[in-house]
Amino acid sequence: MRKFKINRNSEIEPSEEQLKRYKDFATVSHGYKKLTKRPKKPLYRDPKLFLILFLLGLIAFLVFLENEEEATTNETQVEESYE
Amino acid sequence: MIKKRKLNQFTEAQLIETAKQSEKAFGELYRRNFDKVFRFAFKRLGGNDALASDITQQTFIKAFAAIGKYEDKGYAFSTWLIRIAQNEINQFFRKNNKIYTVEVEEKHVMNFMDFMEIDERENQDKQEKLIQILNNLKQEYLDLIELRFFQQKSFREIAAIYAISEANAKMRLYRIIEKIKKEVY
Repeated sequence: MRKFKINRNSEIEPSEEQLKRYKDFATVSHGYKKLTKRPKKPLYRDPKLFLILFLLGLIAFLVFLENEEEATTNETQVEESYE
Repeated sequence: MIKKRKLNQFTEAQLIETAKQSEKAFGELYRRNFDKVFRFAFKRLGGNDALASDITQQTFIKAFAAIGKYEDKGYAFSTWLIRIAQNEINQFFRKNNKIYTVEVEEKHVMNFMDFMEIDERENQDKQEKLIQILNNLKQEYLDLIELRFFQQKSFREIAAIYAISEANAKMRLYRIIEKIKKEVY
């Protein structure tokens, strides 16, 4: 939020010296590169992402185990019925 | 060096096209437009040069990142930059909950009083009263008053900054002025 106040003494204009001092394209170039460059760390090295990946893997493994168990039970039942 | 000399001779449209693929061309756009953007931020921030510099750099970084999406709509490139700067400044004011004091030149207040048909423009009490009324307005209304009277932007420029038509910009401003007039008289 801002409020206005009257300046009765001087003009609000930057001096030539100020314009020269702050004109620096290297900072812009550096800022742009920082904004657009890819993260250095691989995604799996990020602790949060690692946890998510680990949980997804765990769920997939449990689903696989569950399916295996079901298949084994079905096979046993079929064998028993033949006997 | 030869390339730099060539870029100096480019028209603005040529430079913008080249800047979509070349950092050097964007550097030339930066050199050509820095003063305008810095002056705008400097005035809007009441003469705080360090902050104006931060806002200006941020504006150019965002412009560089978005230059691929830039469309020439017949306005100067600097108008697009000022639009980004305006958003950056508004974001800064929103983020900082504290009240930020912006100084305005007395002559601009007097010109605004002339426009509002308030007599005794040199009467400091009347000037202060007007500023007090302005300070109680919504921030979005203040933006328009500031652009038109304190930054002396044309309606065409204001329309480009807000991405609205000139007629719409005029209408918005006159509505705000009517509101202020009611409070003054």
